[in-house]
Amino acid sequence: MEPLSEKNNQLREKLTRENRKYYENLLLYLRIKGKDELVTEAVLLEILQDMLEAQANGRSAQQYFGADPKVAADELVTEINGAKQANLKENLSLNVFIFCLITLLAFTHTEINVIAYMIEIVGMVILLNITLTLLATDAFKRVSWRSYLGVGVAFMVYVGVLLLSDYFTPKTLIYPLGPATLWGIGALFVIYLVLYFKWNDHFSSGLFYIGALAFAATLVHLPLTGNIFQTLWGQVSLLVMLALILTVKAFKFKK
Amino acid sequence: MNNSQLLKGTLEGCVLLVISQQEVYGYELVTKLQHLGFFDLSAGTVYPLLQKLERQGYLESQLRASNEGPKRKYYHLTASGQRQIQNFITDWQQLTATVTAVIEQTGGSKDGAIERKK
Repeated sequence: MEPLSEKNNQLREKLTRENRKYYENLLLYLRIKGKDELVTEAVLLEILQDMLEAQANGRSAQQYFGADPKVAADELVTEINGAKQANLKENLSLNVFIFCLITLLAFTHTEINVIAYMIEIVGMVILLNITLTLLATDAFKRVSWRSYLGVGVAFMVYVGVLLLSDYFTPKTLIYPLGPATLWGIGALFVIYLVLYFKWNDHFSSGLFYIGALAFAATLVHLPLTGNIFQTLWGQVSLLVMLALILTVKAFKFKK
Repeated sequence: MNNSQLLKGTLEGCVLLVISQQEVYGYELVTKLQHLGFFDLSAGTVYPLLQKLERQGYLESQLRASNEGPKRKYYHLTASGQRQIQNFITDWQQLTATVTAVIEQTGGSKDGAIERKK
């Protein structure tokens, strides 16, 4: 079954430029604030279909939906979020989970520094929260330079955390990791990911994350690239690249 | 007093009443309400209300095939919604009777004039 978001993408092409701009602001805001992805997409599609009919009858999106879409959007968010308790944190947790999986499998660690790893996870959650909050703030206007700067600063702080966490955390909770353990845990995580995305009807989106995992693991283990990505700077570069990809993925709501 | 504030309080009941006549989708509902007298009504007010009424069990929705693209969501009234309409009509009749009495007793009239007591 075609995901609702893809149906939305196809139908949106039929809006005029001005109406599309109006609608996409609404779409971005609801996708960020709506805690139930399925309900949010259903509501967005419903509004889009009606907006297209209004357009066909000579009414602009603003004339049809109202001059102040944020008020309506906030009321919709209240209703959508009241419908189900699944929330944005679940999506953020999933990103963090995937990040953990990728780092665990991608690197040939012989040991894991639990405290440093936890700090990196918290850093990732904060980075994603900041990104999504800034996107929501700018939903009904042009993304401001302050928002870009905010995300940029947060990202740089996060990279700093990545670089320094191993050096400045106490070396108390360090555990060995053998290859069999790594691949066993990795296999379980991949099965979980596949099932998660199938249950939530977003299998095509899930392929992105599984693809990122496979790509990172391949880079580390291929003879040609393994020598680069198994060094400290190689590992940090890969981590930074993955963090950047996940942050940019948060902007997927624009598409 | 702002007329839109008065109308907003009654919109929920009016939406249920319109849907009780016929199953509708969002655009149809907005258009019908505007023709009935909610001239300044925008769709942005209606969609959250539809979500709320569905969540409360007064409405149910169903996807129906559409000639233009994906299926469309149609709303129909539930038994619970029918009871809610009865409650709304009772409350509205009581309210209008009370307000009419207040207007008459304070010297108001249908044309909005107020007779000040000497």
